[in-house]
Amino acid sequence: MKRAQWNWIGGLAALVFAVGTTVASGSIYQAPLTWRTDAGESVRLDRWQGKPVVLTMVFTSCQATCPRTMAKLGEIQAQFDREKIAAEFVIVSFDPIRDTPERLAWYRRETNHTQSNWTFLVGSEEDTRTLAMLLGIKYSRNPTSGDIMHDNKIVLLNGAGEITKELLGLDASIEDFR
Amino acid sequence: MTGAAAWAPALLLLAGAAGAALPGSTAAAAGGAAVVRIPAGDFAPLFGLDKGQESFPVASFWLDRRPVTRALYAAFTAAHPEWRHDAVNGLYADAQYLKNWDGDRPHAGQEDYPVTYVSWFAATAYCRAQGGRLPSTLEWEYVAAASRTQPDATGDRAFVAGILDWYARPSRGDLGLAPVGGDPNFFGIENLHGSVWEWTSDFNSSFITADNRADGDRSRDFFCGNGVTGAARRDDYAAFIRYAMRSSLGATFTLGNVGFRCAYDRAPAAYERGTS
Repeated sequence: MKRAQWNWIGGLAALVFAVGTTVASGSIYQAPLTWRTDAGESVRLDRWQGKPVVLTMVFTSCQATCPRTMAKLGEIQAQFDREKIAAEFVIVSFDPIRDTPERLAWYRRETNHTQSNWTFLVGSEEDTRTLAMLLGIKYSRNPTSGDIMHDNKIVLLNGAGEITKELLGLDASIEDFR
Repeated sequence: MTGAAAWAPALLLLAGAAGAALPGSTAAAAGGAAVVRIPAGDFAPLFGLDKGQESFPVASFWLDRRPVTRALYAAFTAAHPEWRHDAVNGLYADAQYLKNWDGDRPHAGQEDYPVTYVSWFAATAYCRAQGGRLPSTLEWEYVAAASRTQPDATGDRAFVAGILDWYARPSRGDLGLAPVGGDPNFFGIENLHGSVWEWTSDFNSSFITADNRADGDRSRDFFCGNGVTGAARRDDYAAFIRYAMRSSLGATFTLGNVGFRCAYDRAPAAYERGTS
């Protein structure tokens, strides 16, 4: 068992070193992913090309961490307002099964984010997984309960759709996030 | 795993592979069909079960009998030139993509080796082009839990020790590989252990970063030394190593010891043809 134990630790070391190195390099706008907005429109992410985009993933039946992620987005918006930075805020659902455009519209009202520069999106399972892979966001759905475990990560895209900043975890400081 | 009756279809398939003519199972040429139907069942994966859950149901699906070979992958890149080694978008694969090829082709004599140095994006695109998808981690582990004779051999110390023995050997890249095939497990699936690691559709989803959860129980279930005490089967170190390995990968990574095979929700064309 000694050698196996060595591998065991090796696996964990690889896990630790890999954190933060898994986001895509290049414009994520190259990926042909399609979404529906909370207004029921069909869009691609490159609609926001040319502007900074604050992008995250949540799901609307999430009780624990998603409200805190949404609060964090609100703090970022407030910081941008103070600094007169115009950015789009795009929130993509992890949950294509339960999050319909109508449900997203309800969530937008419920969380008080009715600003026109905020958009809530839902896509297919496949496109959702692909976007999460591009952003380096891990998630898994419990096949029985439907609950989704996920990273809490917010990324900043530049006008070209390249990831320039990441906030991983709910306690990360937004100070340099611009 | 429950109920012997659930395994009857797999036994039939094994009989098919052994040469008996079975309606609906295309026992093809030398060695049987390229794709095998995996029967539905219940499986307790090492990670992912919540408190009070004993197993997850796994629906029936179809799975490539062997890892995708370099010859098959070369046919894919010929038909989809955006996946050629010199054309692939850096968004989808790192710089090592297909680095162990001779330009557009595998090296002579390695055509039947499992394809390696392919990213998750590349593997996903390949399977989509075949009308399939990557298997989920749950599906992969469900099938890989089978020894030659048992559908779930994760409690069989000799079986687990054999897998650990492979993990303990240093990877020697292509020197450590051989043409795919051989040693079918209970389901008739080959090379799940002892050849290459394999991509799954949700490969990185089991260890979620610790500071992301308000729920303290979750971090006990998912982290570090506590991972095993919270895990479903404490003696399955082999599965633990696989979950750790997968979680260390990014979707653009390409590695000399990571390949893949495809899964299908319905009988694929390849199955009807009976060959790959």
